[in-house]
Amino acid sequence: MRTNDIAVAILSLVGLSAAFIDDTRNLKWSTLGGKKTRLIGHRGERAFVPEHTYASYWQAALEGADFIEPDLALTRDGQIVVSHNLWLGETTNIRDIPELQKYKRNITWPDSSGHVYELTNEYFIFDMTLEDIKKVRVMQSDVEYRPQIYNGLFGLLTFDEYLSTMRELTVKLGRPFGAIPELKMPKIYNMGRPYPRYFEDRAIITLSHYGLANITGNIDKSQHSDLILSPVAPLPAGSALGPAVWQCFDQDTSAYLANNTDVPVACTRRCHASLLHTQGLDAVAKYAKIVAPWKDFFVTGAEASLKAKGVTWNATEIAAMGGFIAPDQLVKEIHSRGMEVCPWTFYNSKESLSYLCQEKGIKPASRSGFCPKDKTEEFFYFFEQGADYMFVEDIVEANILRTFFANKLENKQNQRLDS
Amino acid sequence: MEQTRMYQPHRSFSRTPIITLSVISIALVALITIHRMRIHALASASLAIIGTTSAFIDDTRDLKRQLVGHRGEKAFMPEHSLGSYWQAALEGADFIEPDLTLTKDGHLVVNHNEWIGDLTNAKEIPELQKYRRNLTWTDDDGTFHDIKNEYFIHDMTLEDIKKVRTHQANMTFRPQIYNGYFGLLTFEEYLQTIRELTVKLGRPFGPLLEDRAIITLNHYGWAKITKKINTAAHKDLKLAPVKPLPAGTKVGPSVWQCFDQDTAKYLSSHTDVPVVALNENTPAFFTPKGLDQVAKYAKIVSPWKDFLCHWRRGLSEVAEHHLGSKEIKRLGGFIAPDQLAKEIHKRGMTISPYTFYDSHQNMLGFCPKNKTEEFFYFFDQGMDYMFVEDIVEANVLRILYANKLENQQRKGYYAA
Repeated sequence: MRTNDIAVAILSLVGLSAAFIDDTRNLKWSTLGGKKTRLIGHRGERAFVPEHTYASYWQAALEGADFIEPDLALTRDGQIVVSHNLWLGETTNIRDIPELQKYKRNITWPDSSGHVYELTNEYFIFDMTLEDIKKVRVMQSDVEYRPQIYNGLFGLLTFDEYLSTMRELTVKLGRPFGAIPELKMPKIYNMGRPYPRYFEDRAIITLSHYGLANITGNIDKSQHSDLILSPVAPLPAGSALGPAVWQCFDQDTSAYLANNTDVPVACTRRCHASLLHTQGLDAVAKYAKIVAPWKDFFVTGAEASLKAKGVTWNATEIAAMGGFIAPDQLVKEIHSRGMEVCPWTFYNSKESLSYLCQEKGIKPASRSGFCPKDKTEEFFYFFEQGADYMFVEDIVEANILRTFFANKLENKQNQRLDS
Repeated sequence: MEQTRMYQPHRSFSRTPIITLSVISIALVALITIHRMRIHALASASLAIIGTTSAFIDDTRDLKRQLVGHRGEKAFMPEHSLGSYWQAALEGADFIEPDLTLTKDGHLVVNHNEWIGDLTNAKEIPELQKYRRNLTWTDDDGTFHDIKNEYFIHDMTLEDIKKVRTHQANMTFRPQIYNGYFGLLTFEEYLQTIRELTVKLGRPFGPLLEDRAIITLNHYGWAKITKKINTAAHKDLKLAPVKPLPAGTKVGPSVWQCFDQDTAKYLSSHTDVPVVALNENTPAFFTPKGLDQVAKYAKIVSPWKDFLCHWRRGLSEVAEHHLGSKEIKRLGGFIAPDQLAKEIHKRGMTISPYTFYDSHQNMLGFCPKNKTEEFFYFFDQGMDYMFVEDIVEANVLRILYANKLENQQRKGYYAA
């Protein structure tokens, strides 16, 4: 029995007593389980509050997100912190902290898809200790419609602090929020560590410490006695924990997580062509329960999206594996292999929709030729397709659109009853 | 704070202390006092949305049930702070409400209470301790107030008030993480914020208060002065220059609010801005003849929500005691709670009850079983506006209700 199933069951039970106004209409969605699409707060509610901060998580929770997403990174002294980037110069005030200037440097490295990262004058998490990192304060991106009024107020959290925040929110707001941690760049963070799966094991131990994962493989905990884990108070009667899901771009790590815990894995391999044809999907289905591609694979399609990233492939090989799956058929193909779909990311309506088909000369590879004109069209398309989860920013707008779509479903159902 | 109430104070207001001071100062500065007496009736702002150009996801079915962000989004942020207004705006409130008070040196400051000890760190600021005192007074309607060890805004200067930092009420489901971060705003800063939000979020939000407030509101283009007011007495009122808005920016309308009916009449006769008559303890208000009087100066009636749900025994007793049953009969008797909206609409006014809380909060012994029932009841009754906290929940309920209506209408169509 999978944690996901249990979690869904728990969610539907607790949903009755939750204080947030959940849409409890019994409608049939096109998702794998037939329930409404779940909303994942991308780095919390980063459209309103600096990302990955305590406030961002509170905000996402207050707005009724179903899952709240942290990104995991590893410090020099082996503690797990929450940060999207491996470097801190962009999103924090680190440049203003004298004692951290010694960490400023340049780095070039290729990732496993061949993409080369070149970063100059940056401060890397794996060079710094937790104590160093606790000195910085987070800034909001300089985007006009985002309040700049919390800049410098919040610091970075550890994975442990994120999990205890999730517990706090679950209890205080009476809703079991889902945790969906993503391990960033494991091959880089594992460099220079006692053994190759060091980062994965630390993450597994932490998640299991909070009761969100059972360890099914052999992990030597003695190597991790220095990992900081807060004491976990028992949950009050009537509270239930939310579900957990792993995410990773790295297929090796994804497989490792699937083999060593009972927590479902979302495969987020955007660049590798093998994901997007039928045989590739068969391979992914061996370890992943959820497939999480960049949203444009469902609209403009794989070929255009990969081309735009400069990824090349062997046409004969792809043809032999069944060819690229058409964008409007991708959800169906994923569902038919018993996996759920989790596209990203759906932005605040004031931001660009970011689809290639919106550019001149690029046509979607679907039969329908669908290319969304606005956020409402975009969301309705993904709901109709049966997206099981969606990574969203501005959870308020997302929930409104989900409610509108539910209305549409309800009206359709009523029509069938009336006729 | 309010001793004769049997429920949690949701509105508080004070008038008599300032009237007392004003009586003394009448001898000194005759013209200003008349206005000062009125200023301490707390007022709020309302906004209208012109939804078509905004980027927020509005329900284009236009239910005509508008949501007023109570003191901003105080369910998530310390009330009346910059964060609270941003939050309400981001969540798509139709209106964002400030409350206005007046400092000793004549500055309009946004704060709900006349005192600041309960929701700020005033107690910890050494140079403000000299202001700490007790105050008792009785309102025009007979309500007695006895406030101890507090710091009153009308005793302090703007410079004093700018020293404090606000915090959130101590409720477990509200984030306590912004405590000590925000200060109090002036009315001008509030208006500038509304302008900033209007431009940055592409949605027209609107504002409000009297004489000083009338002049300020007029300065920002939100009110026309229709009867002479003594602008000379307010020459010291410094207002920042107002930049023109970007071409195409739509600005929302403004609305006055007041518990004090004298003030409400004054505002109605001196500007072109419509007036909301707030009330929760004037028996005559809830009689047909009483409402006729209100209709002479108010466009919107804003009662405590319980008046539309079940009759408050307390008020009945007060009514009997103050008016006598003969007088109540002469006024037409009390209007039944489920008829109140209809009677208000019949007189050409709209209705805007307060306050609808975050679903984690106590329903205050209210007749509906839960928040969904509560909202659907009020939507059914035909509320034009509602003061809400947790605008996210309110908006979801509004959408669910709009759909219920749509389904009903559709059924009617099929049945025909």
